[in-house]
Amino acid sequence: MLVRFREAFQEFWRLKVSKVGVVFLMILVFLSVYVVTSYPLDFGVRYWNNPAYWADYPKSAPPSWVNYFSDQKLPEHHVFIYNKPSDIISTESGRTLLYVFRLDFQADKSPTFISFTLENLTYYSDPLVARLNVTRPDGKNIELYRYIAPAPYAGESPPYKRFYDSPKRISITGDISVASVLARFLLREYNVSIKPSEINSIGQHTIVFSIPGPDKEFYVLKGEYIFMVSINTYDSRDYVGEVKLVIGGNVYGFMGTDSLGRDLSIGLLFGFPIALFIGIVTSTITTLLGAGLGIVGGYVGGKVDEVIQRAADFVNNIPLLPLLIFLAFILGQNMWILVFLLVAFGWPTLTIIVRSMVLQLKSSQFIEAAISLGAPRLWIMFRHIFPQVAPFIFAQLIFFTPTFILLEAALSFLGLGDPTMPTWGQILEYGFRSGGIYVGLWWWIIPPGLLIIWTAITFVLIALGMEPVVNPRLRRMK
Amino acid sequence: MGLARTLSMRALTLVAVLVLVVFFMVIILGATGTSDKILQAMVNEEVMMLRQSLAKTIKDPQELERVINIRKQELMEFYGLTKPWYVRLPDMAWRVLTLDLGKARTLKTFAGGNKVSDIVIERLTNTIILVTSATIISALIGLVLGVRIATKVGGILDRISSYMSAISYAIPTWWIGIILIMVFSFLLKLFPFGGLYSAPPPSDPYLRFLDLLWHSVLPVTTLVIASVGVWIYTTRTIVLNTAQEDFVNAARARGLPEELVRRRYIMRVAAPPILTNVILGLATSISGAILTETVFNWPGLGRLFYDAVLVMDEVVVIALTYIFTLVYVVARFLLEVLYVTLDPRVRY
Amino acid sequence: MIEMKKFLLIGVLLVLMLTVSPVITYAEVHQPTLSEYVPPHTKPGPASETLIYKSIALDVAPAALEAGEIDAYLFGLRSTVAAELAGKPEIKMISAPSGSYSIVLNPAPAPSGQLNPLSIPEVRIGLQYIVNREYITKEIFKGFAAPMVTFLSAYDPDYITIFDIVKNYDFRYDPEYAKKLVAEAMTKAGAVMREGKWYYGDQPVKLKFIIRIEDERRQIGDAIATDLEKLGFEVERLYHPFGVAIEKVYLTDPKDFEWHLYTEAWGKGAPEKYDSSTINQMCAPWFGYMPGWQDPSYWNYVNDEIDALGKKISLSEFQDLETRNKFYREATELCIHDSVRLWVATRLDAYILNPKIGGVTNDVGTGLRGTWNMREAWIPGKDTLVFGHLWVWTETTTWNWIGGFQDVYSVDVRKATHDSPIYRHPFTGLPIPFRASYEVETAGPFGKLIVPEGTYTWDAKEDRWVSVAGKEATSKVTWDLSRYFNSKWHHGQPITVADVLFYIASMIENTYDEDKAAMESAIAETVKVTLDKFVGIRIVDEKTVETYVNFWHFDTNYIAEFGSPLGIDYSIYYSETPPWELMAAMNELVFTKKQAAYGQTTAEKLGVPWLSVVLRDHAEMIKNVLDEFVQKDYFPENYFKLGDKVYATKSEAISRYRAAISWFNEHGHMQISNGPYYLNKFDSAAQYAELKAFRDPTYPFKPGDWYYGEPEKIEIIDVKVGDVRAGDEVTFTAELAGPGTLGAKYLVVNPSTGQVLLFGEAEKVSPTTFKIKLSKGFTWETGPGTYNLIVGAYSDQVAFVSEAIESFNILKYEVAPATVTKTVVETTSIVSTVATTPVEVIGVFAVILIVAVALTAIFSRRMKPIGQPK
Repeated sequence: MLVRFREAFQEFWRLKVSKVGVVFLMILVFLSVYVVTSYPLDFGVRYWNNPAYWADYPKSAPPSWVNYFSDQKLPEHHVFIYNKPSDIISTESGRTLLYVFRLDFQADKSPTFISFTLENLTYYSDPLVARLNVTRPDGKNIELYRYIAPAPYAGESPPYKRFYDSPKRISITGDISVASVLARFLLREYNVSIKPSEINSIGQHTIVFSIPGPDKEFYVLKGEYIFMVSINTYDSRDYVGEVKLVIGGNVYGFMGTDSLGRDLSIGLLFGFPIALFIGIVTSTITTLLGAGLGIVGGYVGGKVDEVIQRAADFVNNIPLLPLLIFLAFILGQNMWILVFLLVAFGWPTLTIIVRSMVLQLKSSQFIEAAISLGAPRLWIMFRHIFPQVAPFIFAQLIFFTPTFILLEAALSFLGLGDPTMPTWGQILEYGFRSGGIYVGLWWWIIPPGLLIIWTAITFVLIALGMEPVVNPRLRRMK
Repeated sequence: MGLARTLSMRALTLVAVLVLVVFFMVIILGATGTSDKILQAMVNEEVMMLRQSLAKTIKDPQELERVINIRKQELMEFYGLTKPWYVRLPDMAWRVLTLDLGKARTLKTFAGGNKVSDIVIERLTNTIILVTSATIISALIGLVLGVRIATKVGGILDRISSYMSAISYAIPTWWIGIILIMVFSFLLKLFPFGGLYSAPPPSDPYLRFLDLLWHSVLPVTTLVIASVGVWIYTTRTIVLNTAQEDFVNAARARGLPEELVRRRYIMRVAAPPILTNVILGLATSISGAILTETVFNWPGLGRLFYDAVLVMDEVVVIALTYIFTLVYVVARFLLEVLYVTLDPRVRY
Repeated sequence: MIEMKKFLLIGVLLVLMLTVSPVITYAEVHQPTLSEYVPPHTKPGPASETLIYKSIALDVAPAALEAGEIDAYLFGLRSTVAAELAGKPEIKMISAPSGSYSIVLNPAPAPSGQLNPLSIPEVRIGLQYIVNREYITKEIFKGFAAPMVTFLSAYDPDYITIFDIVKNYDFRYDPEYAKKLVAEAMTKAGAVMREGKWYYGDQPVKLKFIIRIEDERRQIGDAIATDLEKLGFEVERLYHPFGVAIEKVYLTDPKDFEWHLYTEAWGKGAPEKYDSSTINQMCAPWFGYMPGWQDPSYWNYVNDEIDALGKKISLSEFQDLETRNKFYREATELCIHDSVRLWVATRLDAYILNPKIGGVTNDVGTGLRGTWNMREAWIPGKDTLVFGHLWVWTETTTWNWIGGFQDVYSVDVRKATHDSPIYRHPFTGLPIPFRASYEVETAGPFGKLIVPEGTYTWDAKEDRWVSVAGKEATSKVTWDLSRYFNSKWHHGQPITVADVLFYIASMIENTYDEDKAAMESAIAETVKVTLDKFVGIRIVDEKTVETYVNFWHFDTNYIAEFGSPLGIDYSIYYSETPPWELMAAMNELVFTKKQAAYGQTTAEKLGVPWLSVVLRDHAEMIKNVLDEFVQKDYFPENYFKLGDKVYATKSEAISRYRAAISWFNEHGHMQISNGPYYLNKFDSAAQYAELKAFRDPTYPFKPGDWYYGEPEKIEIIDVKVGDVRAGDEVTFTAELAGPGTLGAKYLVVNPSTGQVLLFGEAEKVSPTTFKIKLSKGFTWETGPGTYNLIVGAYSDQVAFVSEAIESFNILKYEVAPATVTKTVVETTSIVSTVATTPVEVIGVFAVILIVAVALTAIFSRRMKPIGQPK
């Protein structure tokens, strides 16, 4: 048995098609193992589907390597994190912690948002007061925001702990009071009067990073910007855990982000194990079920064969995709139901083919010889018939995998996939539903499609490679 | 005699399968309580919206309540919820089986009629233009290339074709559709974004047909790209298998010219399985390509089934299932007859 | 060959995508304002010659607009797409509120031994602090939404009435404060917190959160569920589509706990200057939208106080605005206090249009789809205007004057063909006279007027007009219909008082005649409620008509709207008045020949088509009836005979029938109306409608008459505040800008506790400047600290309330100069990561690639020596 296997493998290995297929498969498996080991299993629910987690990511940002292709440099995404103040000024009423962030800004377009986040604050007497101000390359200084930590609640005793399990994110962009501060700044410095609501629609981040032109246009001011967060503390034991400043970029990372700011490279990476899992598990079960019924039907014949054939006919005649839509619509959408449905309607094609093969095998001499020796039916089926049919079944198993990967993607695209899992179909569905496609967010739509094709091709190539092994006549030709 | 008996047995079982499929649909719709659930939800939604707008004119709470209850009763009747599912659905299924398809509840033809048969016929023409023509084109390409490749196995063409069929097999149709729209409609502005006709539709019938063709170019190309690979691959494998048969080698041994061997021996035996694929392909194409029709906003039968499920128009769902299965069953029966007559070896 | 071409195709495609897209222009130009409106011409009728509607898929609309295929898109875009287009100079965008989102909580008490945390009011109030409204409106809706703390948002006229209550609760996003409130309430209820999770009777406290998946509610649900888990609850997220979700929430008893939280969405009706339905709908159990849904077999949430107040508001049981506002504020306070609903945001639909378009009005209620744009919009240099819409025709798009116009697509096209006597003002939401003008005389709310001689109403039993002289009526509306009677219908026949009489008579006949009402029972029952209050109509002279109704409202415009003698655009049934011959033919078709039905449910019940005058075979049925009328010389004289005077003649009737028949032969449909455009072609299969300008000299309006432009925003230009010493008096000034008579309310709030210290109406010094005085006593009592001054500016002309927040200090009485000494600590390194994908991802990818290639190389070499000879 082993020798036949080695020989079959050599035959398989001779084809270039199979080499490429196996290399791809190895890459897929490695990536899946990497993802499963380095990401928490409930990544889908806790992070991917948690919009607040992606608050500080730029939204609908193309990948950063886009900058190499276009002459207009888009601003990068900058995240500054401080866990210790850079300066401390102590005054009579208490210490002022200073956090200084320097940013040399050379992009041709202003950033997309500005926000700063405070985490793990503790104070003992008066609430801490945090201020954010910016000194621009032209030397002008603006105090953008003043924030007072929530005062002690009724019945709370010091130390007053704030923002331990959920950090306080303050967004400069879209803040009405910042808009009126900037309106006054523009009037004072440039004698340009713009209503706060207009500033709000242009974007506070644009105004901070640019100089007003004559007719209310804004031109980017390049050079070094110094942002400073100063926190007044009123008790020596007061403590500030972390201060983070984010200057939102227009491009991000290796694969860009979707409209919620989710890093697509992580989402796409997470798609590998799921696609493989759904593809392989579903096709394995379907093949085993289909082949099993085929062998039993073909060999046992009579009443049993008739029942299996009619069942196969029945299931085969039901329009698959509409019914899948229907059942997913009712039974709810989770991956296990999807697998069950795909198996329940996937087995008949294989059963019919295997049955016809077994019928031919049944009349061959060595099977008759085995029967005459009184070998039990099960033994014959397992020992003699199965090995004959095995290569074909294994080829079908490989061939079914892409079908199921595509079906999962199709169902997700119709909005019936498992919402807790960031599969490629899900990413594409959200891209299509939120209209990202037609506004040119190509980095959101093309990669998932290509990955679906790449995974599917891997199995198709392997199946092609296995063809001569499965079909001896073909082998003799070459 | 044996032939007639087996064929009629085959016909009977296929009819049984047809009836079973329709009643299977009834069971799913009714027993799982789906259609009741969704219909009840729709009644509820409609009553809530009505109450919201009525409250603006009817100020007196009792009056409002009375009017809402009458309206709700009316809607319950409209959606057929007054009759339990095991009465409503089986009689619907029986009427469908006896080809009296009856009237759809909400879906309509473009001219406003609600007879299910009119709706189906109207959408059938759109599906035929789109899906059936795409199947025929890719089948033809498949046959021509498949046979040519099968004769020169191992050549460059064969290797390329196996790669192409791999890619074509693995492409999600709807995804390639979106990409085609982005490139050819959004960027190059060569083709319309979707729909049947441009607006305003040309009035004279010849131009109107040309307009329809112009609209069907991208969807048909999408379907062809996604299915041509499979056709080439299957035809090539079938022809290859028959080319290996003993009687073919025997024919060659007898010194018959290669051309004669190919035409009379290989093709004659390879014909039935290829034909099987073509007929089965055509039969399944009737059910339309739901995804492509969605992406291209093409009102075909596939899209009709999806809309019917969303709106839970039970009559249309059952009728369409019946029609799809009927076409498929007839195709299989045709195959049985063809199979027997064409290939002498197969005798029951 | 095919293969090669295909491979090429994919290659070209990839290259194209990479090079073209990054060159998307990033202009900094800010929004182009609507060009000042210069009417194109002074001819009667609309601004453009031809108006075309066509169906464009939602996602394709921006591209279609840029390509010039359409000039405006009448369907709201998704927020992602709208945000993407915000900066582009070649697309102008206007937005209008289109719906609101809320989370309904299940307050039912749990069975003994279990605990439903949401049955505790304090927990529900706590949950108000975990709704991150700022994040949801800015990040999820991309700025196309306004945060909501209660059932009204800044876009609702009544928001100013409850402005201070809303500010007083100050539901900010403060998970820590929420945790404290919830902890207090839960421990009091006997629950125990173990490693961050709440247990009750050593069972973890579970919450079922049903989240809809079709729209942004998916992300809203996810965000709130995460914060719920941080509070210590175990949240089971159930993602459901429409059918399953509605069934689980609204069709099960709250006590069965199939759900604890559900993401709700509400449509937005026309703006109401004085709301009476929203407060009942969102807070009062009697209305049927509070858990239990007034289903007697379920457990129902009960709040008798809100019920009582709500009914008073709905039935206008108050003499004046002040008492009404008192009831409204009380009900709002109770509603917020009980917090059965967590309000999230009002969504703003973004409408895109070609910047060159002139004459566009941004209607607060309907945005771009206001009737004003249908008559005033035009493109300089072009006489055709093309509107894109999601659909022009769908299965439920039915055009018929009684039971049709139930979906947005039929209404938006009809607006251009039909003039209503009354419309709602685009900015204030108040009914205003349009094609008719009116005066109202009322003796309400308690007094009565005596109906004079010559006033008649239709008697359904005797099928004739009967006098109602001497009866009583609360109000009288005198209508000047000259702008109708001096003009013509689209098919050339003059508009006469006969049309008014036939309209009213048909309404009464179809509602009170037993067998007709039985046939169209749903419509009859609904209309009956308002018709009961209709007393009679009096023809004063050839252009004036009086209607008498038993209805009162403290704003007389609402009385006029109630007593309109012709169909009003936005009423559910009888929303249009076609020429009387069409009304007669359709009544004949429905009630006598029974070949069609007005209402959808009747059509289904009788198995006849749901009559739609734009569909060819339906319109043909109407034409055949008219043919019969001509042969039979039919003239329903009784509909026009008031006392001894007859307001129509047989010859007029015959010429009207013929005109309608020739209209059908020419246009293939039966939509004949009196608006600025007439419907020239309607093709449902091609999703296309073509309208031509009605240039008849008798048409009363010309371009410019109904142009309102963009609602002037009410703006708080500047609020001057300064620090004040405790015990001193100080005056802050607020500078406002905006239309109409302005007003400003102010609050002083302690930012850290959120408590309102002072609330009042700012003193008006000049039309745009307001003074806010803080007395010595106030600054002394409040004592030193930092405080926020919140100013709410409003105007009687605009429904929008604008807010500004400025903070100021109250200093200690004696202030010693602060000494500043600087001690420098060594500067720590800034951890500045130009954030990219976790770098190791690319690293790992490279490693895998190398390993795989190496393996195959070794493997194949090893195989070769044993392989068979070639």
